[in-house]
Amino acid sequence: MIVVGSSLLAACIARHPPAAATLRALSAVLVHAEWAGPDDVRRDFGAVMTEIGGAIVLDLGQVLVTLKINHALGIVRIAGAEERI
Amino acid sequence: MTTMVKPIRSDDDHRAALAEIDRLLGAAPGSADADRLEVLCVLAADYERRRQTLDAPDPIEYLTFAMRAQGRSQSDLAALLGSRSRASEVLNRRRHLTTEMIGRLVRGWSLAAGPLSAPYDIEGSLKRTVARVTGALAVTAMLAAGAVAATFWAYGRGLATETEIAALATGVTVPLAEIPPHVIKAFLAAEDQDYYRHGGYSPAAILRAAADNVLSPGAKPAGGATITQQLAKNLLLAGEAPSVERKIREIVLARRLEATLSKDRILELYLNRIYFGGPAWGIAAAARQYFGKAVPQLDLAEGAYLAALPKAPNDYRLGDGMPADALREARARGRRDWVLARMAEAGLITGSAAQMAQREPITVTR
Repeated sequence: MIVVGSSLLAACIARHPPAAATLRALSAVLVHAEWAGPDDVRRDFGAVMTEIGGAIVLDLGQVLVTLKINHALGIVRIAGAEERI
Repeated sequence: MTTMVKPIRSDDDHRAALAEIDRLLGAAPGSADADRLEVLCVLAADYERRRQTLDAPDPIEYLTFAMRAQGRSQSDLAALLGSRSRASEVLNRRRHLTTEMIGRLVRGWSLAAGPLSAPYDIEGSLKRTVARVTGALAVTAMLAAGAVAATFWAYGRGLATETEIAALATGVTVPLAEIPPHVIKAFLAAEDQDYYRHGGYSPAAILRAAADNVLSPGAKPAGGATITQQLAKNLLLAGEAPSVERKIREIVLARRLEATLSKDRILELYLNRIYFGGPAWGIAAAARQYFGKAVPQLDLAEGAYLAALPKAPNDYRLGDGMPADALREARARGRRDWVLARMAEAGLITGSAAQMAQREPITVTR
């Protein structure tokens, strides 16, 4: 997939270094993903994801990451990466 | 096509591109908006890679994250790998993921082979590091008594002298001047980042070898040889089984090589003699075997792949009669990409050059 918005992950790591390993691993999953449709996303993130409207929110414990995906074009937009307060 | 898009050169450009990407994200395939969206995404992703590269996770970080995201437990991993102890040892970094385990994770859980194939430390190697430090402290005490000097003097007797080394140092097929700088840099990054700063060995290596000799006589030595030590082993100690004694002889001979030959000459000999897997000894044979090219024609990605090989030539070797194997290819690519990342970290190439080379497949002569 083409991943856009990884600067948000880098910014989140800078604000909250303990999340670095998790966000690096998330980035690797996204870059290597070959999702044909929503079922593939559910397979990879089923235990941590919630679908809200057209977005997917990943609850990764220390951080919440929001993704928007265009499956047909193979694009993942990282729309948010916020540490829990 | 209405895909006229400005290059992204600043954070303002990037913000504007992201805003437009958000507006176009639902574009249907084949539409003008989809064309524009795709171009914008490629440019934005490239800008982000150039500005701030996220380090790759190590394989266990990646595996642990994927298990959590998929809701998998250690018992699930045990079922996949066929053994509870195997799963526990992998997750606790007491054993490496094997090619077979990676295959099961790729087929069974749809994980990517690349992130699982990167090099990483296991607990044993950490313990060995602690043991080395402990040994080094013991040797520091020995230093005071002159014991290290005696040890190295004893092992130095009977080895090639500087005059003999000068006579043996022949057999160059490709002069260093004909090897592209990016290829030389790849080998320095992969094998010996301090090559032009050390005197043939690192002081820590001396302490470690001497400590191993005192604390674990007869044991296999730790790796981590400099390029000069590797040449000494290849040129002057060929055929000797690994041992602490050989490691000490390597250090003594490395010092003599450095006293006899210039740094460039040592590097030239090393590149012309090192083993690359199969029948390929030396960089000219390797360039021909893997890419059907002469050395001066090697590009960055090809040079990085060749630099990835000496560590474990037959593990990362592709083509030349080897059966096609996706996992072997992923492992080789992981190692090549590690070399490229190390080059970028050391400032030997730019981050974007590394990323562009990492996107290239390894296309070897079959």
